[in-house]
Formats: sequence, structure tokens, C-alpha cells
Amino acid sequence: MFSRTFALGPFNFKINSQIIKVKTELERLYKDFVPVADADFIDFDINITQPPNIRRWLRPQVDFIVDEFKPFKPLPLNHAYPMLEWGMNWCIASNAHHFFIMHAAAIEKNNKVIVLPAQSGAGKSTLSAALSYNGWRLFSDELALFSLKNKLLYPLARPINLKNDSIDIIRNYIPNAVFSEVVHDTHKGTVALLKPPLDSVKQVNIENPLACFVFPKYVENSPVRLKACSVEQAFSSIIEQSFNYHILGKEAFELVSYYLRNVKAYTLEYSDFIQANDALSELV
Amino acid sequence: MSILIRFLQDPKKLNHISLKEWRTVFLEAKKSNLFGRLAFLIEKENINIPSKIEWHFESYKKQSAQQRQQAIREFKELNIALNSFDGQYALLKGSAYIAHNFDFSFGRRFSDIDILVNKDELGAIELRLRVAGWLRGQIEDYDDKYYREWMHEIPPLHHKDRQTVLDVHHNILPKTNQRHFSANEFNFISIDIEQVGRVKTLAYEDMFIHSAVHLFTESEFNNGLRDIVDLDSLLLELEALDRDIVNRIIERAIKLNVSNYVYYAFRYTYLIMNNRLACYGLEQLSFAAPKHLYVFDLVFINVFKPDVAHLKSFKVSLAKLVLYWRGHLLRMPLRLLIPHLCRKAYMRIAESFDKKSTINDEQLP
Repeated sequence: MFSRTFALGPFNFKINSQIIKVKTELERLYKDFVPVADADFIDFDINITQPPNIRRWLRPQVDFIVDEFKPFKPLPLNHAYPMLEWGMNWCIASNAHHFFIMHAAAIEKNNKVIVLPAQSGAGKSTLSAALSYNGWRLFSDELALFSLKNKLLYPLARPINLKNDSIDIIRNYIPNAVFSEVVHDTHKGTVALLKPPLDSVKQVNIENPLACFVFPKYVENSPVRLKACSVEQAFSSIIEQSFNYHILGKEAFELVSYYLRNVKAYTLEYSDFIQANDALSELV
Repeated sequence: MSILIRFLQDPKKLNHISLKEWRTVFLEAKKSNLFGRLAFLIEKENINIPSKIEWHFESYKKQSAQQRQQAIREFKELNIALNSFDGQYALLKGSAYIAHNFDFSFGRRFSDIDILVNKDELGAIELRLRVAGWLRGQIEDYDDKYYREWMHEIPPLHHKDRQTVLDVHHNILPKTNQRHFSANEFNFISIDIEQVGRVKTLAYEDMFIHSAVHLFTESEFNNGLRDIVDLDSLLLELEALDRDIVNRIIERAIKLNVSNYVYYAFRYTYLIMNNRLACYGLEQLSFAAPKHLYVFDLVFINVFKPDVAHLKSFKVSLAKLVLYWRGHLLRMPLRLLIPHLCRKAYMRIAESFDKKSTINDEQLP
């Protein structure tokens, strides 16, 4: 049994497991994160363990348990590490309602954050992976946290979850990239996690204001197309990609209205990272 | 002893604890579904909490406020769906506490809305609820039949758009329980809610009796401590509305022939939460004490605690097992129970080998 603690932006995590693969991946991908001080408060105490039943020998499984609560059914044992990452997302998205939380990537340059909300498969993780190793700071590839108090965005700088073809695309694009082991046949297909850039991790406690919303879409062979998006369209897309709009109600409505009065929203079609980088750099 | 229970009895003690102790309180409260209660008490008693953990309470408060608002909206929808004909319904449990705006309903989380309807009108009410979007969830035929034949409620209904869950009761106890009595014997009161209109709940003393009967005929006690804390708060809150509430409860308990369940409710509310009204009630009801009271004490005191690893023991597991069987035996005689439990065990094993049982996509970001 081993335990690791680390501070991920505003949250303190503790991970306990006996599974060697989990240990290896944490050591590889979370090496640069600061451990939580002994006297400090752990927000989420997580166990990644094998359920103690007979299936242990037949078809081994793994459980995600946070604070002695099991939010999901077990997965096959070799999904242990991706399950931990998904579970950590779940911890944040279903508990941290002092933030307005969106299913979005977020990247920063010149102290301004571009939020890239999109459904799974639209290429937001791929794009944020490429950009965060090319002049941008990674905030998150999955969860954008908007503070309800000061309207700033809070970084997480966690490993980036890449799926299927994008794993090789990024492997080729960022030659020194460090990846977790590739895991096949998950509910999201083949996945691998990319280690976040060191600079992003070091600056994980620096919050920044929003520059704009960009709704990205990977379109094969398409030249880069950045188009202004109507406020109505932006509003409905933002709500669609939010995890807790329904919980925050009026507070979230007011926050989103504030942003849309003060920043612009765009749609982005791209196939080439360099072109996309140039287009987005114009916005900050 | 549970650190959580100590603080629920006297929240002021929370002023002087370390972050490490907070972690324990935190875990016990979450596992017992009492986090909202804790958040409410902290605010009410003006407790200083370390800034590190403030957000947890803030966030939880937002969630329960939303849930409360949702519940009130459902009351309105129910009024619209059911008031168009003579059929009447009454809100039960958590929903009733919200309808009465009781202090302890703030922060109290619940998973469904419970209503009581007249058994003769059940068919008509189900039909109207279906028209309003309340649909049956996926349920095995066997389970459905079991519910309808033996239970005091129908299988839960889910709203197709709002995903809220509605539990429709047509009685208080399963009809095989020897203390079974007709829900028609309950008294009701009406209350006006802003923007909803008039809703009905059980009368105060019957509200307490209903909660007590429910809790002490259960076979699973995952929310056991929460339910005791509810009884504790409910008694104190009702006393403010009716100084003579304990005597009224006792009178009703005798009339409805459930003084044993009410005795347990008083006993454990007193022993666990140190409730003075329960202590008084216990003296008045001493004739209803069971023969082997120490056995009951042994099991109930062991289950009415947070279900966390550091409080688990052999006694707790034994108590759970005993209460599991007691609950089932109260519900139905052995000749019905044995086939039922065999059938359920078979269904569970079959399900655990079902390849489809895997992670739910939508739950994961």
C-alpha cells in the first residue's frame, strides 16, 4: 500500500493504492506537483483498490472510492489509472460548487485565459496538449473553473487525457512528451494521459481572467476559420457544457451574462496546430 | 464514540478542533448524510471554521438550496397533476418538513419525494401522474409484483424531464406487519406555500409517529443516524408549536397500537442525541418497553452511528445482520420471506456476472 498527496490548484488530493501501475503512473505524471503539508486538510481521500471478492481471480477489477464512498461500478483492473483520473474529475465536478464548472479546456497566454468548451471528441484535449507545449500555459483539458467570487479562472494543470488517434498525433508533434501507458477498450476508447508541462504545474496557483470563449472543432484538412459567435449561441453552448448550471441557477446565469457582456465568443475550425496557435494568439 | 454525534449534540465544541479532527467530522458527516445538518448548525451557532474547508460547506449549501427549490417546484407540479380531481395526496417525511419550513429541513438532503395517497384511488392517481410525466423506472417484473402485492408503496416513479423521483405510498406499513393499520386513521393538516398553493401533510403528532414507525421497521440502516437526528430535531421543533406534543404523540401511539415503535424512537433519540423531550416521553411510555430491552439497546446503539471504517466492529456487523432479519421478519412471515430472499440473491448474482454492468459514461467528465 502506498499513498501520495498533491495540491491540484485549489484542491488537496490523497491517493492510496496497492496497485503498482497506479503508483508508477503517479510517479511519472504527478512528480512535479507539490505534496500536501502534513497539517493541511485533505479535500478528497481516494482509494484505488481491487474489490475483495471472488472475481479477483477470474476477471480482476478495480474500484474507485472517495471518502469511503463508491460513486461508480468497478472497471477492469487495467483501467485503474484512467479510472483514477476520471474519478478525480468527478470529485471536482460534483463537489466544487463554489466554482461555475464547465466541460472545457483552458489555456493561458499574456495572463489571459481562453476557454475552449466542447463535447468529447471535438478535439479540445488534443488542441490544448499541442498549445500547452508551444507557448501557452495549461489550465485544464477537461474542467474550466470559474470563481463565483472574483470571476477569475483557477488552473488545475492535470495530465491531459488523449484518446484514440490523438495519442499518436501528439506523440509525433511533441517529441519529448511523457505519456502514461496506453489503455485500450475503455468506455472512451483507447486512452493515454500526457504529462503536463513543468511550467504549467509550477504556476498552478496563479489565477487569471478570461480572455474569450472559443468553441473548437477539428475538421480534417480545413484551413483555420475563426468566426465571431452570437451571444445567444454562446450562451446556450456554455450552458450545455456546464456541470453545475442547474445547481447554481441564478448565480451562474449572472456570471455567464457578465462574461458575455465583457468578452467575445468565437467558433474555431482547424486542422493544423500552427495555424490554430496563430489565430488564438491574436485573441490574447 | 463518534466525534460527529458529539458535535451534533453541542456544535460549539467545533470551535476548538484541529484540521485532522475536522477531517474525521467531515467523513462521518458525509457518510451519514448529515453534512447539510452540520453546515446548518455551523451557520446557526456562528462557529468559526478554518478557511481551508469553508468551500465544502458553501458548496453543499448551494446544492441543498437547489434541491429544496426543486422540491417546492415538484409540490406545485403535483398539485397541478392531482388537484384536478377529488384525489388527495399528502407529503411525507423530508417533503413535509420542507412544506412546514422546519429549521432542520434546511440542508437536509433527500433522494426522493414521498407522498401518501388513498389506496382506493391509487390507479387513478398513477394514471394522472403518468400523464404529468412521472414514469415507472426500469424494474424487473418480479420486483414490481412484490411491491404491489406486499408493500405499502408502489415502485418509485421517475419524472421524464426533471429526473426527480417520486415514492407513492398508499399505506404506512406492509400489510403483512402485525401492527398494520390503515393510513385512513391518520390525521392531516393543510398548509399554504407561496407560489404553490395548499398542500397537505400528516398532523404534527402523526408526522413523528410515521417517522418512528418507518425507522423501527426498517431492515437497512444506511441513514439510521440521520433518521435519529431527524426525530431529535422534529421533536424540538414541534414542541415550539405545541408544548404538549409528547403527550399527544403518546396518546396517538396507543390509539394506533404502535406504542412499541414510538418507545424505541424516544429511547434512542434520548440515548443518542440526549433529547430531553424524548427522556420525558420514555418515562410516560415505560409500559411499552420490550422484554429484552438490553438486546435492542445492543443492536440499535451499534447501528445508529456513522458507517465509517474507523467505527466498524464485530458488534456493528452483528447488529446490522440482526436488524436485517428483524426488518424482513416484521415485513413478512418466513414462508413468504425465504423464497423472496432466495430469489433476490439469485438475481443479484446473475446481475454481477452481467458483462454490461460497467461504468456509466454520463457520470464521468
